Amino acid sequence: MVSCPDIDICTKRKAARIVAVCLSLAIITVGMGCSTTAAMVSGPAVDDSLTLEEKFETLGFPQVPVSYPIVYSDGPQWRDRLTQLVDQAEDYVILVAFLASECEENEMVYDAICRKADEGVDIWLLIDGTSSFDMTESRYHMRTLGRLREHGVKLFEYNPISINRLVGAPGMLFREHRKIVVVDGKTAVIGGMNINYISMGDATSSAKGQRDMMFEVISPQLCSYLAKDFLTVWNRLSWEEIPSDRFVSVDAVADVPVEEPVQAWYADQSGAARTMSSLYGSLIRSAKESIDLLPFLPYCDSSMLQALKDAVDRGVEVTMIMPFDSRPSNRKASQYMVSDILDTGVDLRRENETNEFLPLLHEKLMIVDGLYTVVGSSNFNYRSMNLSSEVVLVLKDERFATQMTDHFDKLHATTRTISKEEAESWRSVGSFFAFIGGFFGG
Amino acid sequence: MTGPSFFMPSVVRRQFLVVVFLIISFLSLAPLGASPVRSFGYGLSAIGESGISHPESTMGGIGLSLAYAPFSFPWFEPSLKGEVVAGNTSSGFSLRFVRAAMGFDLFRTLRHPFSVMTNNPSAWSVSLDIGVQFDFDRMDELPKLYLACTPIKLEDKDFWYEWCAPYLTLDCSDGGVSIDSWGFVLFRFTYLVV
Repeated sequence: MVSCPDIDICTKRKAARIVAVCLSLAIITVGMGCSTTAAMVSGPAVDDSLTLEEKFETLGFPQVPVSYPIVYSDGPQWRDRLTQLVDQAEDYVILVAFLASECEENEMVYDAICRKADEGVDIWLLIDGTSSFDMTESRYHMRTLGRLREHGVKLFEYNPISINRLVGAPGMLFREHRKIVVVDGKTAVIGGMNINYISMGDATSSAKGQRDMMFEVISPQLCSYLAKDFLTVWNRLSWEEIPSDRFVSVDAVADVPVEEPVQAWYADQSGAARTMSSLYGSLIRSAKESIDLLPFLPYCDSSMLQALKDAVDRGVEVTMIMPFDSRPSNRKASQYMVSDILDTGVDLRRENETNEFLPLLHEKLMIVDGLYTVVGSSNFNYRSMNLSSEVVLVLKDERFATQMTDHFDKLHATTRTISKEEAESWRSVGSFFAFIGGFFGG
Repeated sequence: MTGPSFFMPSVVRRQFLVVVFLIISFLSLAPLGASPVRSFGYGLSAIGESGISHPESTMGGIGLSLAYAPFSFPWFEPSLKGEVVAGNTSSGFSLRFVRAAMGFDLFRTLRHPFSVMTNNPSAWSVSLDIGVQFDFDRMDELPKLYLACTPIKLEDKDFWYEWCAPYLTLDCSDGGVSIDSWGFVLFRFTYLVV
């Protein structure tokens, strides 16, 4: 026993040390405990005795039949379609968005939402708490969504950012990044577009919008899974709970036919689930010929880089297109990553520089072997693999893969390669701090 | 004092063991399996306390707390709380006291006048706490009885926001009851982690 001349001081010091250690451990555990992309290069994802579809089954990604996807790659076009979908709803509408705010350009969507809520249609809108801090062009146009609650819309902010929640800082890393629309259990839409100015504004004019895509399918089965997962998340967050039998169960619609079905797999990463790593890892590992990738912000950790390198080493042609971000600070952050990606042997390209405003390429897309296409909210980066709720659909359809490859090729024609020397010149100390912010912040 | 006495006299140690026993008993009541609500969290508070029997212990400080509320009852929801407080007194900044308490949320309602204080529809409850407080400067004394009332406790499913909660500590030694100190928790924000 250590003798202590002053019992009070000794006690206080010991107590202070215990408190400090416990607090530090708690913060580290909560903040980083679930944060890993190891599943991308281990477990079923890299089990070569399994086919890709067997991997999906092993990993628990349900197979769902969906209609051939309708692609919306224009903000106003998607805005009009969303308004129409809401107007046609008879039972319920589920909306999930990372960033949602009202502006002159999209008020027709929110008018429709309020109108249908007044008519008695159940409308749930789950948005991320960063919506109020939208730092894109939307910030010059945005209005709050307060009026929705007055019309009976169930609106919930995921993980709001406010002073009194700062004590939960580690949890604030986790964000709701999914973009989902489900209407009456029949129509589902997922993709990368938010319900704000920049996503629904005109990307081709001086409106400073961004280029993005949404994918609409008819599929009671997919809707059922989306609704089930939405209910789980919603009831974990909100006191205004949804009855567990509110939506049709997965089993009840299992045999409902879908016209000219496309084979697809559904993956949801919400709450504590970490599914994106294993999904993307499976696809990369199973690729035999080519991988075309639009990552948006390609902040990759070592497992992600390893997965890409392994694919290149197997002879797979991996092509990745980085957006040219007109915002210098964001551009510096993602440029820092380029050297590491080049080291994997990936054919990394970037959109051509321009002094004109180039609408940001916000699309997320992966095409494997001209057969499998991954669409949804997930970027190919560390944040999407670990720190965000994401939803994607893997479609197995040659025709759709060809359609998306054509789109990829058009983008490819406006890109250039990046030399290793140039990539190294981008790795400055100043860029490093921007990179760290981007790596965890996305 | 040289033995492994946990720096407490035996009578305090016995009471400490009783508290530990009660906590373990409470934990055993927790529903097994996944709970739909988060039940365990940590918090940060700002506290002011006025010493009555020991005026030199008057302080303003911050508290770090742990909370466990495994149930989600609309009435009389129980919870366990522990808090360690460091504060600034006339003799400087130091660890002041540690408390363990059982809390009861008397009710929970979504219809209340405080909804503007949170981003999402939150629940309002009034909470009563009863527990014990050990003063680090007076570890050789019996712990004080701790009583608190939180009139404004707003709850998200993952957060508690408590405001303006008065409390008393009572000295129940020597057969009598006297006020040892009183104070206010100006705010306590608790993040329910799991």
